[in-house]
Amino acid sequence: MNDRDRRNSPRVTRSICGLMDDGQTCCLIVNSINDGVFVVSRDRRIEGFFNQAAERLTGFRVEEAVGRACYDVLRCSLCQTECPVDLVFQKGEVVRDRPAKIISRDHREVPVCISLSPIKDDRERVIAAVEVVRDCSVEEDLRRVLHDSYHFGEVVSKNPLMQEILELLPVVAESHSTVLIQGESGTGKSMLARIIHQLSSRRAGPFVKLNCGAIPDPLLESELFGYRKGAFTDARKDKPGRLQAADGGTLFLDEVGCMSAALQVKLLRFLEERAYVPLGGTEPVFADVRIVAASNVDLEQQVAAGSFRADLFYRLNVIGLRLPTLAERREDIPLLARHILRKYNAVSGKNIRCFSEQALSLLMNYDFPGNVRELENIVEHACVLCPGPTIEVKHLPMDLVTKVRGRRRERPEPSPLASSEERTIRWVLRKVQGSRVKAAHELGISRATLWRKMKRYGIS
Amino acid sequence: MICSTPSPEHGFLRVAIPSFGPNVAPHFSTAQEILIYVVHKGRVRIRIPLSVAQEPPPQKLRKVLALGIQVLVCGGIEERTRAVLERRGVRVLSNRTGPVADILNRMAAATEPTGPPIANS
Repeated sequence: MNDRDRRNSPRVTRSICGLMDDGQTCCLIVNSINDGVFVVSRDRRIEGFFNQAAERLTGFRVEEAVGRACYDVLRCSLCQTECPVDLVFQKGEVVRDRPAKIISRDHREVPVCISLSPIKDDRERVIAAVEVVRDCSVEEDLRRVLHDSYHFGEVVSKNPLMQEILELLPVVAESHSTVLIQGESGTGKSMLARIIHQLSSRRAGPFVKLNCGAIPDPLLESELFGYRKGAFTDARKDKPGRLQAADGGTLFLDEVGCMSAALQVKLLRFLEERAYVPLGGTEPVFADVRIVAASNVDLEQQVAAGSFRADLFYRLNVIGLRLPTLAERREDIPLLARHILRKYNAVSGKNIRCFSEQALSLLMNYDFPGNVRELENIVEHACVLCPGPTIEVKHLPMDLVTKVRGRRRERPEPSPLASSEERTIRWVLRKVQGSRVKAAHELGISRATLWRKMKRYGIS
Repeated sequence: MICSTPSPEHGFLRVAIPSFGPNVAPHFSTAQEILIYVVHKGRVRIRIPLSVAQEPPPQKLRKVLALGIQVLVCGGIEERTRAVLERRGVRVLSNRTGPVADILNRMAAATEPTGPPIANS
């Protein structure tokens, strides 16, 4: 008897059935499963049970879910197009691991895998289906981290300026125009470029990235345009450039402000003619490439200073996006911190749930000169040091804690109003030779109020 | 065109309900049809079904905004979509289920001068 037969042996089955006859045991078993489990009847209503994992996934309690249409509870991306429940009832087939996205009661999009098995009567008619919904958020996060890909839906921001940008992003992506993304280092320019590519009709094509600031200028030209055999001493064969590699897709030119004047001219010519001549070549090569450029320095200022060509700037800045710094979108810090925490959990296999109030307050009071990238490093640092479920202040980098606490200790600048009040009180007190009764009378306030104000401003 | 004449100033309420058969669609982004209603003084004055089966979610969103919809009644809706609509002044009544007709009757009653207020999501 093999393992499978032993598992399905009549004696084992009988004892399980005995347990299952006991309603409480059955509930215990179903509730101990980490996947959402429920039964859907022929009229698509949830019947019988709806386990605790299903409650957690959907946000609906069992008493709310049972008796309701499954599509009203699950709100799955497949419900209205290729409903797997239909398949089970029509063909009596088992559906396994169908990827989908559901919308929880609190409007969260949750990636899931749905499996369904038919429940048949004695005459082999499907009378109901058992639906198992597995939360795939962790796998999805891990996949994104591994592939360094970003999903439009994962960029969450409460900041009005960011919301404006995100709202426009699908329109920007649909067009074929050149995009210039400006913003400080670490604000997410590269991520935005990827999202633009993924939302565009070129998504099936390549996304090629070239950091113009990381490669010396003579190499940058051959890297961008490629070279022909014999172009220079070591050019033993033709080498395609990044433009050719990005044919049919998007070329992301990071730190475009670092390009030399000569290369700027070549790039401008490509943008105008959609053709370029590789190093050592004579014939122009055409490439269907959308250029998305980014700069962490203000290109307009560079144009004014004469270090960047105005005509290239206008060619690149057909669609201009300027990303705010993290300090300008402080309201997003808790959201981003939690998002980074989730990503780190997926990669490290840890289960850190949240930040303590004090830790979050410290993060909120920090200026983040390195923007989101610095926040990522801080959260990663905290995750490494945190052994439990909550990140505390002691897990944050020491220099961050010192900086924020040091700034808090500094006496805040008095407001102009308070400062003028203090000056007036001092002046009146001098005038009445320090008599508090006379000063209070002169100021039109009670002695007690004057005393409180004198105490507040440190007037003796 | 419903955009041209009825306006909120004249007591017209422009409502969009993504539908799934006779019921409210469970998922806004994958809805195959959006029903547009203009309600005035307790009655549905105009009903236009919009087929959006072939349209991606951003296109659906743009349609709702372009039609000057004041209230969107839906089942599940992603947070971002909801935020965009609300920022543009569209009232989103989410997590709604059941027959479109019932919901619409309640909304129509709310547009009557003495009618009950529309419940929030």
